[in-house]
Amino acid sequence: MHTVTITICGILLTLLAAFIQPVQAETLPDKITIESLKDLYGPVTFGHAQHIARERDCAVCHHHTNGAPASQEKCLRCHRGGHEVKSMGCKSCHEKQPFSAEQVNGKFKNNLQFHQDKPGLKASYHLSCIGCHKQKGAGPVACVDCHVLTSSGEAFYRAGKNAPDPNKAGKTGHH
Amino acid sequence: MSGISRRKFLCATVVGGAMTTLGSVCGKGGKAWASGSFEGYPEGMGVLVDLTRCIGCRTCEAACNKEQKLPEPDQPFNDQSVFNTKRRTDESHYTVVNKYDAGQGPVYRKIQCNHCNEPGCLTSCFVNAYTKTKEGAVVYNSKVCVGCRTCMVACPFNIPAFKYSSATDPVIKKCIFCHETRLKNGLPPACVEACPQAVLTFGYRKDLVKLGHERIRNNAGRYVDQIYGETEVGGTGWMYLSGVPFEQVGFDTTLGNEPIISNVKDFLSTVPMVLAIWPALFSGIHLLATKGKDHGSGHGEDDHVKNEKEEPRP
Ligand code: HEC
Ligand code: HEC
Ligand code: HEC
Ligand code: HEC
Ligand code: HEC
Repeated sequence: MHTVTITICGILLTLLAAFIQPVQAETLPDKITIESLKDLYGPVTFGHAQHIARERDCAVCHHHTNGAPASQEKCLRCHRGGHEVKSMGCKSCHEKQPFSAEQVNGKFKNNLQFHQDKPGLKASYHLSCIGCHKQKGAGPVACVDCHVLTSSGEAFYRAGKNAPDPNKAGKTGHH
Repeated sequence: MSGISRRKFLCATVVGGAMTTLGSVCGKGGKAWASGSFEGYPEGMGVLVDLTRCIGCRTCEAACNKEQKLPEPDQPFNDQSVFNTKRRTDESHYTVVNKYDAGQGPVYRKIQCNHCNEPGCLTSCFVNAYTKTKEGAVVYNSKVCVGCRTCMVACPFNIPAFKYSSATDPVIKKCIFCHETRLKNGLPPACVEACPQAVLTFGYRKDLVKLGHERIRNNAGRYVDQIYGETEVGGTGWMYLSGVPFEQVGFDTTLGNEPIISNVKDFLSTVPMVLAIWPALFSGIHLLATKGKDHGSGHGEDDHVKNEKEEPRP
């Protein structure tokens, strides 16, 4: 009995999802926990579906990689037609270590690489997320509104329990 | 085929596959950057600072403090109240971010040593404490430094700071491009790696010049059509892009394109006497400087107490 209800519910939900999001409904994540970099800050819970409902365009975040044309004027010049890629995840193109010797040496020496000004992974998120939030005047821009400061973050920024003693303020250079 | 050549062969394959120049991956202690000339340029490294991307988070300052093991700051690095004043770099802050109001919204500007192609500090230093490394960093040898502070005067960007905490061991302090811990080991400086907004782009200086001009061209209206540091004082390793005129965000746009070295040279050739006077002059300054800070104690063990009285540099 129980299993039947669950199965029916499941089928209904799937159908519903398919109706709301005709594009790749089966694979499209609703809520994404972005956490491959987490260290100073914790993971980021990203409302993918909420954003899609508002933006109605994949290309504002994913470039032209979904098969739709690019959204930015400066990219449209060359990416008029969309172009599907294996993975739309930012990680698959934006490097975690964009300034490693390998990257820096390879970038300009290899003429086959057309795009030489691709930001690293951390910056690809921030430029995209904060860039849009600022431009629209909506959505979080303060650091802690997207991710919490971890204890290693507190140590790094000398914040929270690692904050400097205010009584000693004004004596930098002292040790 | 000997073992060595076989290893080399393997190495070359790996490197070739990774599109890198030889030496960047193979062999510890090998040069990480494919550098050529000894002066540090044109094969030197640099950083392109894009002010239009900076949001004033101060993460670079925190990263610098950690990497260079600088003293504890007065306020946490995520405290925005520091923007109420225009700060300068000093012996415990090799980089600072300042906030400017330039019409449409705030503009943040990171400052640090710009690592000039032909550094004024280097040419003015009469004990040769400064070196421009082949990677492009301007570093100094504190063992040689006598604390004469000529470099502080010579620097067009007011960067070298004097460390007051020790009168017996006078020393200049400034950003060294993380040369010792990172640059020479094939790593980008700590601030660059930490920046969440890619304000800082690290690479070969000559490539960054191209990249900067491309960014200006591809983003019509976003930038002022100039890379500050491309030609100023003979070119700097750290260069800037801005969306507002540079003078509105604290840049000195009157410096001209001649390196400080040629000013000094001209100066020397027209007034050769100076050569004879300078050493005397410097020791005079040094004496004055040391005297001023002694507060009558002058003993090593009193450093601690003296320091408590020390005003922060203006
Ligand atoms: C709109 C949301 C958003 C805002 C606002 C935001 N970030 Fe992030 N941040 C992200 C995302 C997404 C990631 C990637 C998380 C991951 O992969 O672990 C991230 C990752 C990071 C990381 C690297 C991971 C780590 O924990 O070390 C740092 C550092 C960071 N952010 C700093 C900041 C700072 C400083 C601010 C404030 C100026 C800020 N962020 C504001 C979304 C945001
Ligand atoms: C507001 C920005 C935004 C919009 C709009 C958006 N996405 Fe995403 N999407 C993301 C982010 C961020 C991720 C997480 C990628 C990562 O962690 O690397 C993601 C992940 C994905 C993934 C998973 C990729 C993987 O392999 O991890 C798919 C598939 C995807 N999006 C498809 C779409 C489609 C299709 C649309 C349009 C209907 C769309 N997205 C619209 C930001 C967006
Ligand atoms: C002057 C033409 C031109 C402009 C403008 C341009 N691109 Fe491209 N882009 C190319 C070419 C050519 C390639 C294929 C070569 C390559 O992958 O490096 C490419 C490849 C790409 C790819 C890789 C696709 C894949 O299959 O891996 C992405 C993503 C991309 N561009 C994004 C952008 C974005 C984002 C912009 C705007 C900021 C942009 N491009 C502007 C010419 C351009
Ligand atoms: C198929 C490869 C690819 C994927 C996937 C990809 N990017 Fe990009 N991205 C690029 C390339 C290439 C450029 C460089 C374009 C240029 O040179 O102007 C770029 C540029 C950018 C830029 C800066 C250029 C600009 O002005 O828009 C941002 C921000 C960015 N990507 C964010 C993202 C985010 C966020 C994701 C994931 C949701 C993502 N990218 C996924 C390849 C990719
Ligand atoms: C193309 C524009 C755009 C991009 C890109 C974008 N956002 Fe948003 N985001 C918005 C808007 C608009 C809102 C405000 C919704 C409201 O207030 O009603 C928002 C709201 C949010 C919220 C608040 C909760 C919510 O969904 O309403 C979070 C968290 C958030 N965004 C995270 C992110 C992260 C993380 C990224 C980057 C991976 C990102 N956003 C990229 C437009 C964008």
